[in-house]
Amino acid sequence: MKKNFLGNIRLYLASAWYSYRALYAWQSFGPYISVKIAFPLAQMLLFIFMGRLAGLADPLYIVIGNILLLPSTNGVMGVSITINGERDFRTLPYLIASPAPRAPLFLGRSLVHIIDGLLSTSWHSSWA
Amino acid sequence: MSRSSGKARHNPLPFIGKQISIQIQMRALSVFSFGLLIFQPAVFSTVGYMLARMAGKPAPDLIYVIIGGGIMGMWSSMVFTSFFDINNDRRHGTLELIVGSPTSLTTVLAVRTFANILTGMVSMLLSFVVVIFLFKFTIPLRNHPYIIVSLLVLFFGFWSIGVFLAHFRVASRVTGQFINYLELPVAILAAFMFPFEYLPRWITWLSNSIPLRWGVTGLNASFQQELILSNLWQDWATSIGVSFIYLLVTYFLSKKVHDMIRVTGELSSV
Repeated sequence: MKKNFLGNIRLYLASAWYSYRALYAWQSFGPYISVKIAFPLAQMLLFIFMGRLAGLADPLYIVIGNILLLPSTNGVMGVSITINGERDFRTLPYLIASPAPRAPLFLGRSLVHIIDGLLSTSWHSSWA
Repeated sequence: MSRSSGKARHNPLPFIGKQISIQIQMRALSVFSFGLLIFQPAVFSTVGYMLARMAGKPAPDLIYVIIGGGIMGMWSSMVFTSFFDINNDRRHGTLELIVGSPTSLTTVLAVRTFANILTGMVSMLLSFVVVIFLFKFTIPLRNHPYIIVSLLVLFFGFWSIGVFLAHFRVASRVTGQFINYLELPVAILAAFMFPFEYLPRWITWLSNSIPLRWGVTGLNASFQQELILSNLWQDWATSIGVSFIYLLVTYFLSKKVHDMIRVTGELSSV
């Protein structure tokens, strides 16, 4: 029972870590920076310039709105791209057919993105 | 092959027609393309509209917010399809066949990019429909020819960048991972949805190296009631000139791809 439980935890953490690393093709650090820093900053800047065109003097509302968008982008996009990647590389059927329990496998794929989303939010908040 | 003369006769039109048809069918059947062409620009334009309402204006600046949204849709669609088409070719093993086929890689990518821009025009047309029919925006009749020329110049800029990016993706495998450095940063640098003057002066040199920046400035200028033709001509000429520089670089990239194959002796080196 205890061994089974620890096995599931190990599976959960391992699948979380590997799916997260695979998502950003972590052979290099560049893609991670582009998704986590370049894209959100560019989006924020675009909306700030649009706000200026509209006549908004204070961009605080835009900045906060964009920061709040980050965890949802992480959660929704990260997890869906991870699962989509399994389908693209045809590993999804093997994953489903494997004897490993599905709950830790698939929950593990979401855990790191939630933590990462929170980290991104705090990083961007401090930057803003 | 003609039996009588023994000379090869190459008519590119069937290839061009078929390639455009396939590309458009692929885009038409893709939910991702729908998101890029319609949903995302609509979201950007809606945000612009909301911001204008927040600032107490009854309507947004239609040219920048709505037409700019259409340009944004074209750009997003083109940049993603230019990259993902090559990605898919590489993944499915068809890239080697394309590079090794008698039709040159540049011809294939140029026609593909043209088809992607045709598809991207959906976004632009929709933005015009919204501006004219929903917001009752009237364009003075004398501006029409200038707007059409500006659009053609802008499309040429899109095409040159699209062909360049596609070649860049073939020449370098790692570039696909940096797509997020391109979509919104270029939209900001080319000032699709706000006046170019808002950009800090220190970054303008980078903006000026993008043909879309000149194309968009020309398009915005051609909507104005009081046209300054000298400025308009300058924008068009610069946009076309910068586009040709991208095409020149594309030519060298194409040569690099073929050299790579010759040196390694393997089609799979691309």
